[in-house]
Amino acid sequence: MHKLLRQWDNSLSAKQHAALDLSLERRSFLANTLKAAATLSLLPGLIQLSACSKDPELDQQSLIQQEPWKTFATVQQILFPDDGNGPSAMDIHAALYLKFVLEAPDTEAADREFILNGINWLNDLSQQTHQKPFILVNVTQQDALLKQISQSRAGERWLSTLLLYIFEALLSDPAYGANPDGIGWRWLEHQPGFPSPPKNKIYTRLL
Amino acid sequence: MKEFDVCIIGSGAGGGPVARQLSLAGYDVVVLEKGPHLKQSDFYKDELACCRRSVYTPNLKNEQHVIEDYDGTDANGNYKWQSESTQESGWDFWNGNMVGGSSNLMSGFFYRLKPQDFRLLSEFGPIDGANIVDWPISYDDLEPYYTLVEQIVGISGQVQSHPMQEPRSSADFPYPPTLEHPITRLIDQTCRDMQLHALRTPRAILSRPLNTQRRACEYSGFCGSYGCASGAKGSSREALLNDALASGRCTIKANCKVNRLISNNRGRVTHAQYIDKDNQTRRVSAKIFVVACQAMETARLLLLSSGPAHANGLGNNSGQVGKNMLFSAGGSGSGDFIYHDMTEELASQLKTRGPFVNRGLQDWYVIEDKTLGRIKGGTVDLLLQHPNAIRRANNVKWDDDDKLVWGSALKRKLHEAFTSSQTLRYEIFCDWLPNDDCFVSLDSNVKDKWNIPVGKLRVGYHDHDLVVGRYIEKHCKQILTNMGAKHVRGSVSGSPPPNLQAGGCRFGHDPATSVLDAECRIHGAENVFVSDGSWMPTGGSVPYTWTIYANAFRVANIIQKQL
Repeated sequence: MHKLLRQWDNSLSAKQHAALDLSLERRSFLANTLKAAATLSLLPGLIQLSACSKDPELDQQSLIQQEPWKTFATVQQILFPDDGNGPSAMDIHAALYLKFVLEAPDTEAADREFILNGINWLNDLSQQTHQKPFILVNVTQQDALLKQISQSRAGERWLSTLLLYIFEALLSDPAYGANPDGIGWRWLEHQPGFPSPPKNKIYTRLL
Repeated sequence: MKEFDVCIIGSGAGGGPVARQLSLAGYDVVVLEKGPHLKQSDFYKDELACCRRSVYTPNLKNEQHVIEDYDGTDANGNYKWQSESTQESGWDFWNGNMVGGSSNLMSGFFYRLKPQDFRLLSEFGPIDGANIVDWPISYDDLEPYYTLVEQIVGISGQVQSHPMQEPRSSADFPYPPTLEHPITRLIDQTCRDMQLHALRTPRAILSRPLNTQRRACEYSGFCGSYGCASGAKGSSREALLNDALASGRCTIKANCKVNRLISNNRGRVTHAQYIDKDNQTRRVSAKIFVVACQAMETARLLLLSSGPAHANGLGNNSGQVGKNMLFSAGGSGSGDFIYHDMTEELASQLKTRGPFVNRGLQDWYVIEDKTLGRIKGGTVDLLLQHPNAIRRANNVKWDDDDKLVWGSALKRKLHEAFTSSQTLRYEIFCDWLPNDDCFVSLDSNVKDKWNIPVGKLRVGYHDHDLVVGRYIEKHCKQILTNMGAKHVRGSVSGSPPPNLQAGGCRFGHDPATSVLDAECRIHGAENVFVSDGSWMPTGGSVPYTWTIYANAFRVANIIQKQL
């Protein structure tokens, strides 16, 4: 394993690894007590966007012009590509949805950091291997880098986390800004329940 | 300070009937509920809110349990137990903290107990290592209240003649069965061929509107785990507490967590002490107190409530509080019906979403077997796999070698998993034999966010439960196979289902071996009753909710006489 990946593994304590496993496989992210304002200030890059417009498509387009979203969107598109079989990560607004998750008041600070730091580890590996950041290497190299990080425990968990939130973007109610017009539901022939939540009753408003 | 006639702690299936009956009878009732007061208009079919975030249950960081699980035996052959907090394990034992409690989130399939369940010891004899007793009341004592629940909560169904049909005082259910999924035809045919009785499952779901507030089921297909948006589901909030509020005599204090019952020298409780939404500690006084926090939390509250006449916790002078906890034993399994193996017409029928499967079997409620002899068995419920899509998708991302799959391979796998088959599940409900290794105590280290010791649950089970579960499982798998299902799979285990809790404060005539008297009044605390499922000394082989409702109506009658 590349020594960078070993370092990434070692940067997380056994307890953090266990907590990540738990949050990914059993309950997604466990809620925490930190309030959004307190934790978001740690992440100045996250809330540079102006207030969201009414159009999630435009929001996503402007979001992925800047880092770390450009890289997130690139990784998500490899994990869930535009291959003619159903919608891609871009089609379901996976990057915009990931931003919603990172800003949600119940997302744990440690989980938020883990997701954001993954981009740095990935770029470091890309720099050391190809002397370029991830978004500038070719598609074959990008694929190989993701395969490489999946060999480490932390890397596999990071990809697994991104996949979980791609599934949430694919199959949650469009009120969350993803799955536009139920495109994910239609592809998987999933009949959603009713009534569906209006935007002012999504779960973050109920906490 | 105003003195209420009755103070009820907890607003779920145990608290609702008492609040309704006594407030309608003109008594001043206060209900203290730790969760928020969500209304019908707050419930949507939102998988994130219902099932993927901690919205209806506490954050396990703030409020947790400690679970003591079996961890092998020591050199002397004694069981060893390993403690782990639920914050670390994620094994959540909260089931719905809000007005109406977890009854808001049930799927509402309702069965009565049977006469044999009230006399398990005399009917089937003792089992070594199990604390089996007969109840101090009989089925006949509870029957009128089962009937009352059918009418007031609203149960739909159809009485069918079968060998295990329990006696009834009314001819049929007040509401006809809910709409049924086309797969029931296949189930009925197969069971007939096997000479089994596929029974219509009674449901606490209205098939016809009751009034403008409680409309008929709208068949969205998302019922269990979700709050009901039509009022059809007979939750304590919808069916009982709304009536109580309309009486003008009932006050519901939401977001109020009771942490202690304060008792006097005579053992009577004088006040309930609670922490309100603003973290202020407050007290309420009443003539009668009713504890209904769901079994684990009821035991915890009593253990936290020591007083001059209750040195080891309220009602715990014989050390019985928290003992003989019950869950539901058994297991579950499923089989897949592959669309390309069937006609297009049948495939399209099986894809239907909305109506209930509404089928269960009680052919093995009492097992008569050459090897096993005559033993108590259980109930089987049949249902479609839960429609939640995100959870289903997330399970697809691992391959058979437990490696992550992504890219086009993942998308193919996902599409196949969602569109190629329908899955029918079976769930087996058997008696969880009461035993010395299944009990609630207070943890000496772990505290909740208010710095109060959390409940610790030891989850030992009796091996006999597995014997019964496996016997019934064999028949379930045969039904699915005969129906034409592929990949028939299942498991029977001694793992306690957290949403099926009872016991911990068993009722009985002898204060040395029980916490409550036959009227569910705490021995030695004449003005305190327990009305959730805690009273049950044995649990029967069906989900508990109907019986909890029925007994709580009985307790309401008893309290009214005492007031």
